[in-house]
Amino acid sequence: MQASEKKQKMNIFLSIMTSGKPFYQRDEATMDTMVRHILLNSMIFLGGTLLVIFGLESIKSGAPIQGMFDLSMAGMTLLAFVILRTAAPFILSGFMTVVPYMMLCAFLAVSGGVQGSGVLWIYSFPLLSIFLLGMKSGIALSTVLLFIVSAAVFIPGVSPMKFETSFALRTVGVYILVLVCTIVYEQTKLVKDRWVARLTNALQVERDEITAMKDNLKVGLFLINRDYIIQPQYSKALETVMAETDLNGKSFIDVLSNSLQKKELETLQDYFTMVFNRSYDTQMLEDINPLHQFKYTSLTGSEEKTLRCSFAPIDREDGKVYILGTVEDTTREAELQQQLSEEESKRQEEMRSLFEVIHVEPRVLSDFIVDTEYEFERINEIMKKRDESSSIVVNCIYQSVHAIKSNAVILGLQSFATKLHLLEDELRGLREHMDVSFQEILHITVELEKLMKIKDGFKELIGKILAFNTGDGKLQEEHVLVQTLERVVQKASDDLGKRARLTIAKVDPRAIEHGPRRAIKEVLMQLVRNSMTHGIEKPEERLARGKEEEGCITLTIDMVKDRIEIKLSDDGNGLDFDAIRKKAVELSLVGDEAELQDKSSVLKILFAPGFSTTEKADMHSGRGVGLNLVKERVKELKGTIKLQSEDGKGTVFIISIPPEQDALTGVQTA
Amino acid sequence: MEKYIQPFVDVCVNVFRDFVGAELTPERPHFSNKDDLNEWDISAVIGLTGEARGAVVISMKKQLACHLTGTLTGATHSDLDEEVVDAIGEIINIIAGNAKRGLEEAFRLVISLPTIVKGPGHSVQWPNGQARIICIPFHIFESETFCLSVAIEASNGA
Repeated sequence: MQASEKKQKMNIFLSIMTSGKPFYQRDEATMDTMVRHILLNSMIFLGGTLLVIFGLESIKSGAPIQGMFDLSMAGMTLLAFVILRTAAPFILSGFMTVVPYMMLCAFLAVSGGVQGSGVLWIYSFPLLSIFLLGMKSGIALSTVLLFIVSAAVFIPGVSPMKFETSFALRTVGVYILVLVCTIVYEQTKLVKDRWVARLTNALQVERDEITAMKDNLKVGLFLINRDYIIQPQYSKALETVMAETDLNGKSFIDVLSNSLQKKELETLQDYFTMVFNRSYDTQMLEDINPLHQFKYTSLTGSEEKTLRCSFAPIDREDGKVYILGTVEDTTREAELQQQLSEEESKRQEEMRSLFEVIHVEPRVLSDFIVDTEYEFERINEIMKKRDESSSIVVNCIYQSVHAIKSNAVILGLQSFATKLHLLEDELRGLREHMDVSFQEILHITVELEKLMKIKDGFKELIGKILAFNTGDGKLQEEHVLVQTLERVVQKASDDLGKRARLTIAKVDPRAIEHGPRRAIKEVLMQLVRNSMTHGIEKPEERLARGKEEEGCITLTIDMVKDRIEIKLSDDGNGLDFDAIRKKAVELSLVGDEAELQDKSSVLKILFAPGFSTTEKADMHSGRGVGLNLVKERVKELKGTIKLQSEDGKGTVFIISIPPEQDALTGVQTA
Repeated sequence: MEKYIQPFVDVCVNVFRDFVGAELTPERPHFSNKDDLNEWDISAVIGLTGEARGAVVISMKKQLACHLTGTLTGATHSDLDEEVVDAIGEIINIIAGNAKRGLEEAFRLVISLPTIVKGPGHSVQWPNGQARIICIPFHIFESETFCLSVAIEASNGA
């Protein structure tokens, strides 16, 4: 309580002395004005009190005019005290105080006082008047006082005292000395003030310029100290780039906590230590900068940006080292970079697929395009059927895409096959759930459209290539078929690490001519692949069994009693009934192995959709489409499949189909 | 490309629900050939340009157009008269307007004002070298259908 009372008293005293003007003790710029106020107020109290005393004494001693003059002067100083507390200019109160003080001094000098000591007061006048009123007014008033005092000390009769001439000379001389000294002092001070003002002004201009530059900089500029705290003078752009406000005092590491992993933040701190210690030169520091380019998300979770930061050590006057950091938004740049590299890889892929395409015999490629278009038409037909359920449609698309993919793989059209493979994966995923949404089917449609565009590209290309090689060496249909199958064997041999050859026992050209060429090719490709994957053993295994190292697949296509009979045999391992039973149970296609005791039910499983003994799906087999596709196609052609298998000796597929309706009309109708 | 098509589908569903009071179900899409003959009586063409180029066409038969006009105005129509064309044009305007709002904000796309074409078995001259058109049939009013056909392709560099 006492402390606060004391403080309050102190405050009142301060308020009186400084006329209630707001001065900050620490602010050196206003110190000067504060001192003037205190001095003036002191003068008001001192001079005012003296004037009141003198006034009263004069009245008492029978000089009422003198007394009234003194009192009115005192009143004027009191008025000056009041005016000083208002917003009126300082100089006004200054005059109102200094002029009565001059009168006082003049009165004291003239009246003499004890042993003529009244003149001593005058020496304070030049100092006070020049300090409070400035050079011009101060000098003028001081000069007036000089004349009054001179008159008093030199001219006898002016003062009741009688002054010696030598005393008078000394009195006036010292006064002039004080006045001159004050002028010199004040002048020096003024020059210094002006110089300081000019300096301050220059600094202000400079600072404004720097601020303008800093505020209009596109780059975020900031200083961080040893504790990674962002210093107040950062550039405006920093807030924009970092999508954060009030970064002053925040830790730079914390600001990045949303964008970097813990480990990365630790690396960054290690890096900062290196920057602080100046362990490496600037170039080296830039090279190992972990924030050279990084993905940034602000603490408030704004959208992701790509930023680039760089750091350099900076010495400050206080002897501490800071890091000067710059941060730039390079999102657009990064986007363009990415776009560029995407386009580059797209172009490369185009080149690759172009090479793949021109490596294929044009006749074979045309055949592939015709087949692809046929499959696509099939897909579109089923997509148009409104009453067909989605799962059936998806399955149908799946089979067709698989068929196109198989063909593409055989021809070595890797990039096209990869795209088909991806779509196949998606379709397989869809096949597993019952309900296919519109979005999903739309997506599939769009993807199919993209694939068809690629096919269009092939078609265009093949048109150009064919325009070059006109007519020479047109391949017969059967040669196309044989060549395609040879490619299947070749491709599968390479990929599976097996060795095999395709032997053509007989191909009746009539069968090819009148048969459903595409279906035959498709079925044979699946069967050959099946033989390669499941029938033919690895070379070492074959040698161990006393077989020839190279496996043999034999194809016969013949016309038997107006039906086309296709026989494909291999000298492989034959069917592994136990493995098939086991897998069937694993895939829940049957409840119990006991259901598969007789061989014919095992064969049924073999042709079921989704059945495969291969563990992993690759480009060749393992999706369980192959034999199911064979069954479907043969069924469509109203044909039959026979399967003979001898353990360890091989498997034979015999397919019998009627020729195409329009081809053998006479025979068929009979 | 779905990202450009899906908004049209959604807008169709919403507009028909809000303005006609009919629930639409988009059916399985399929392809149609550029030169395929069609059996539609009235079509509205909305062009797209910008990061993707192409057109979206909404086609329907006379019967459905009259039915829709009837639902909107309360009067019965049996022919593609001016009022029917106006009514269909109005629905298409709303669809284009709504699609514009969504697509132009999300992508660098500009959507044109729709144009109405009528006449039995009319054909639409599709822009760009697109060979195939994706058709999305919509099921409406028990047994009627209309078709949203799309041919859009991403333009390079633009």
